[in-house]
Amino acid sequence: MVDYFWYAFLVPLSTAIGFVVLGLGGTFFKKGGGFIAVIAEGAALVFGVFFAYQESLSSTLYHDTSFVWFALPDGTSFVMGTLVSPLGALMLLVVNIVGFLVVLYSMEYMAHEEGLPRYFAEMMLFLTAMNGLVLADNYLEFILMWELVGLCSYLLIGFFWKKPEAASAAKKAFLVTRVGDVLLFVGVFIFFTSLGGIVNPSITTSPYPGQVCSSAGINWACAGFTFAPPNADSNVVFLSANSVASVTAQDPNLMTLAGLLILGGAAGKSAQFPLHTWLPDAMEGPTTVSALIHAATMVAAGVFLLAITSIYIGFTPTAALVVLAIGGFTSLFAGTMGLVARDIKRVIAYSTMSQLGYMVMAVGAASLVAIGPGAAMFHLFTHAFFKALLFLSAGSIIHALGTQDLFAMGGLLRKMPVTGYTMLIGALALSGIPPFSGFFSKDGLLSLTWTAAQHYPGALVFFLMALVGVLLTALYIFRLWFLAFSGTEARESSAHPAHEPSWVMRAPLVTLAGLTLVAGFLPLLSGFSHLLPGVQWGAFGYASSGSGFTFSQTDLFLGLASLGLALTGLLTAYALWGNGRVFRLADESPLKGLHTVLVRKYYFDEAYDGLAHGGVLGIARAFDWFDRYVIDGTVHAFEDLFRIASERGRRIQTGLVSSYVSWVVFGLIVLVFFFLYALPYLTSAWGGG
Amino acid sequence: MSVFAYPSPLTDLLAISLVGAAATFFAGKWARWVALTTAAVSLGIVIWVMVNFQLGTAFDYQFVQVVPWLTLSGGSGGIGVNYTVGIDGISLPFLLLSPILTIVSVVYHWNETKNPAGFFGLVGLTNAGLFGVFVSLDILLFFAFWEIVLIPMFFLIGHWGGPRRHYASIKFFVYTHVASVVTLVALFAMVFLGGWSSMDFGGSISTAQVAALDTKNIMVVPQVLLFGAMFFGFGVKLPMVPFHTWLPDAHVEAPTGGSVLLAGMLLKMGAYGLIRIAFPLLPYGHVNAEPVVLGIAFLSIIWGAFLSLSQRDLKRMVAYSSINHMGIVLLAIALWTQLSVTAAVLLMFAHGLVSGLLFLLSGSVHHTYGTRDIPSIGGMNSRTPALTTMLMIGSLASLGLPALVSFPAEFSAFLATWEALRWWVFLPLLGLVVTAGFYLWMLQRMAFGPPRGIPDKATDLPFNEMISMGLLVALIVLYGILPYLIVQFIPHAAIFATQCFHGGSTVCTSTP
Repeated sequence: MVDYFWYAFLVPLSTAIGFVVLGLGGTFFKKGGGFIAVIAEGAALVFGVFFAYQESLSSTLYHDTSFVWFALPDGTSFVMGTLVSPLGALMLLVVNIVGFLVVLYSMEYMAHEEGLPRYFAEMMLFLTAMNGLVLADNYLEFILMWELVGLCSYLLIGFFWKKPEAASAAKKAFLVTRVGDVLLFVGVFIFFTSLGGIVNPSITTSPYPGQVCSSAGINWACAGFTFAPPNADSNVVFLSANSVASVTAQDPNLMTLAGLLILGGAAGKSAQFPLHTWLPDAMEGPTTVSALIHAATMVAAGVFLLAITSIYIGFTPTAALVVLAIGGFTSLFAGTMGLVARDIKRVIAYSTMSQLGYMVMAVGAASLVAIGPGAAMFHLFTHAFFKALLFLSAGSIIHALGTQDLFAMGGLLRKMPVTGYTMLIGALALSGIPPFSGFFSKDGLLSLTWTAAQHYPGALVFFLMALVGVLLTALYIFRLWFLAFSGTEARESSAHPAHEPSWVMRAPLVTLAGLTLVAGFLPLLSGFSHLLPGVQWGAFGYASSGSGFTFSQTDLFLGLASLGLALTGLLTAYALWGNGRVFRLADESPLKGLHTVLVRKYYFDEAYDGLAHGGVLGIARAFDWFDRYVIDGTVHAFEDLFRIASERGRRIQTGLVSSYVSWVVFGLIVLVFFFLYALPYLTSAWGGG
Repeated sequence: MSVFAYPSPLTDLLAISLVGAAATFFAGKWARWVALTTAAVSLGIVIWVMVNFQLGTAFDYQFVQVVPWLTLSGGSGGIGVNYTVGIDGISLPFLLLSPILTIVSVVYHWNETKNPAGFFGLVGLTNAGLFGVFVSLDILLFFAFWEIVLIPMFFLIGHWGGPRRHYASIKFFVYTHVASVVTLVALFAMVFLGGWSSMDFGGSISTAQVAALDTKNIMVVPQVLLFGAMFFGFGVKLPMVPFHTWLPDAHVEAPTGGSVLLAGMLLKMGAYGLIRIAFPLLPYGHVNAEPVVLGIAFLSIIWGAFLSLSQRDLKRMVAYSSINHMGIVLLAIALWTQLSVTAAVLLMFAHGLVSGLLFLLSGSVHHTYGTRDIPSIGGMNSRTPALTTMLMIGSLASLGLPALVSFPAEFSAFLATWEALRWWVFLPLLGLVVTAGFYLWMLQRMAFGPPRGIPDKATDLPFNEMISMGLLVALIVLYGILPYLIVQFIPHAAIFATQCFHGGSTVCTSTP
């Protein structure tokens, strides 16, 4: 059989070629060379689907091709390569399906912008790095791609660089994620030094799920879920779970810290509390960028990182609990801010933060109960489509109206029915209403978290937060939908009459809506479920297990509870904002104070700005003062010292011969003393030679 | 041990670059062509040397040539001073970097109007002196070239520099010269106290003899004192905090090409001296002084990063970022492991290319916009997109973005720091965050936003500046994607330096 997987590099290569062509010669093409971007990403889509399909059929789970990037004689070597893994294959589908639709949509959406070649070149670079990231076969390569997607995010947020807000938001995004990256670096260093030496070359495939490897108690993966630290020469050697367990036994605190540091990196990229502040501002970028990078793919890379690292995190319950806690808290925390935002894109951005919180929580829960992170990845998969759909629909509105203010919209359903109904599908999926995809994936991860909370009661608080988050999700997204589409008239007349976009923009909307309808059922295909280790597909208490279905009463109650909460949210939204109603808090309302806190985003921006300006810049200014006046001042003091000394010393030159003679004699005595006594003493005392 | 039967190519390199530099002074209007040709020919020789370099076969110096020069009285049979040249994997990257930066400087100053023959001649002379420093294997020869490098740089700053050039050049000269004198005394004391029979530290003697050079026959206390003196002498050049204040002044006043060589090459001489002489030859010294060295390294990293953040002058900011980067180099040297020394050399190579680019950019910003004051320019991208793009690439390379040359170097350096010092690694990583901060803040203010403070006559990069920057960008990307191309030379020399002077580990006498 041909080893197809050797050619996995073709996925990033397709867009890399697109990047080089557009980067060097984009200005020579019409419309910024958008069609070249579509062709390049189309090729990547074909390759990506092909490799994901091959992976779903393959009996071995990991397919690695690698070469040594650079190495030292002592065996330290840094490897680059491609690793087609189940989770990576799933991500290939997500990245390239959404990527292709967004690039297509950009052809019209961005057509009137200045700097189009730059836009498409940067999108190509992003897709290259993102495909490289999901195919990375070790943490070093992962970090490399991770930083590159961060760069593209920086460049594309700042696409409208003449706007000071865009330039500022770009910088903020890079710096906040950089803080997370630094933590990630150290986490990887720990893996490198602590796990690097302990590998079991005999285990080259991972026989999960369900196969018992040892008495270690971990029965879902005998080998590393993912890639090993970069210690192997040409073949990735998977870590045996037993080895990790033994390292953990030796130094559990170190492994806990490693898990927390990795979480730090993931929190930066996936905008989790407390590194979340950059994501709402990132909406300064074009809407297409928000859809692709800041909803479907790059921000999900943090969840992907946690998922592939979940085996290591699973060995230390403390780290896993913190992961669960951060995710659960963020899902509620972000939802509250989404309730009050006026900017249509920001509402969706808060929703992204909140949904990523659910995924992070699910990875933590999966680590706690020692199963694969399939539940989180399933939600990542469904979320990518319905969230990209929401963004692109919002883009369609912005494209038509030229405003992002929800309170200026209204009554758009009649003028833009395709946009309106596709966005409705996205909103229903996000709220978790059956039969849309979000319902299945959200149910799965809530039931998983509930299971984890049975073993670790501390997790229960965060489970409840997530449950409240379900209510808020439906509330804020239908607030958005009703404000935009219900009623008869726009509340503020806009310069442009509302109209549907052309098929170039409508086709991606309809396709994504279709995917949102079917994505929830895909785990029923056995090949596809292969890409989601540990997932339990089901609804209303029934869960698929091998040949048939099992029933669990607890899951039924959970499913009904979350559905009830979502419907409550939906109906509340209708009552407040439906039919063209506009609910606003009265000024004397007791909730006004809370409202202000939410509008000001809990004052995190102010606090971080204060830290940056008062703290970091203040220290820098103080250092600068010290440098100028104390350090350099000392240098100048020496200068003065020598000048004064030389002026005084000049007085020795009296012109009197007798004076000179006495100095000469004095000097001679010193020299004689030195050579006769001091030098022999020094050589005998200080040197043996 | 492979002594060349015919004069070593390194001698050709020295001769050609010296003769070329001398000829440049008298070449009148052809000076730039003579300078460019000389640098290009010397680059060609270096590439020939790289191609013929024996990788990983032995720890010996290669392309060695020894010519007896004079004998100093002292010791038992006098101390031989030889013309000894030779290279290993630690010196090779610098040998490659020097002509590249020389070419870049010459091309950048292609239309220099102020006494061009003198300018190009001095640049060529600096290059020749640098070659000498990095090929010398004799203490006295090394020191002679060390001093030779200072003189053309003094004139470059003092004659072609900015408004405060006289102050800056004198400060540069006196500061580094005081350091040189201290170094010289320490070097001679080491030779005499150690009872060396020749000033040679590697060329004419076998590996076993190098191990015997182990200066353990100097007692601990004087060894620490000698190490302290050399650390000061080499460290001023690095520069390390608190002996760094000559650097921002020198850079701000130096002409662009001078800054490129100053940051790209002259700072590396200090680190090279530490790796080549102070650390391996004075093992007791560096072991006992390690806390101080590490402390100064951390201080330099943090100090450089924060000071960069508070600067208004673009060039001064880049100068302070050099202090930050050389602090990481010093940290990597102080850890003194195979990985860390490799990382240090790689990082210096990377910094040579990246800081070179950034100083070229500072120069271009200055003569395009008439100022380098960061807050008074805005929205550069609307008038000079090429210059802005270059400024972005340079900034991103300097803040350690992957696929650009600094990343593998910094990553290895931090990994080595983690392996040796564990949680202390957060200090240099804090520097990394601040570094990202000041570059991105600079870009936000200067490159983006609405246009502000742009003179009417501002035009984008001229052709020659484009070429010189493009050359550096190409190399930054090339070595960033394929670091192997340069890393392959380094580790064996790093093993030799770190392991063979501690009483002769067995690894040193066998062929790996």
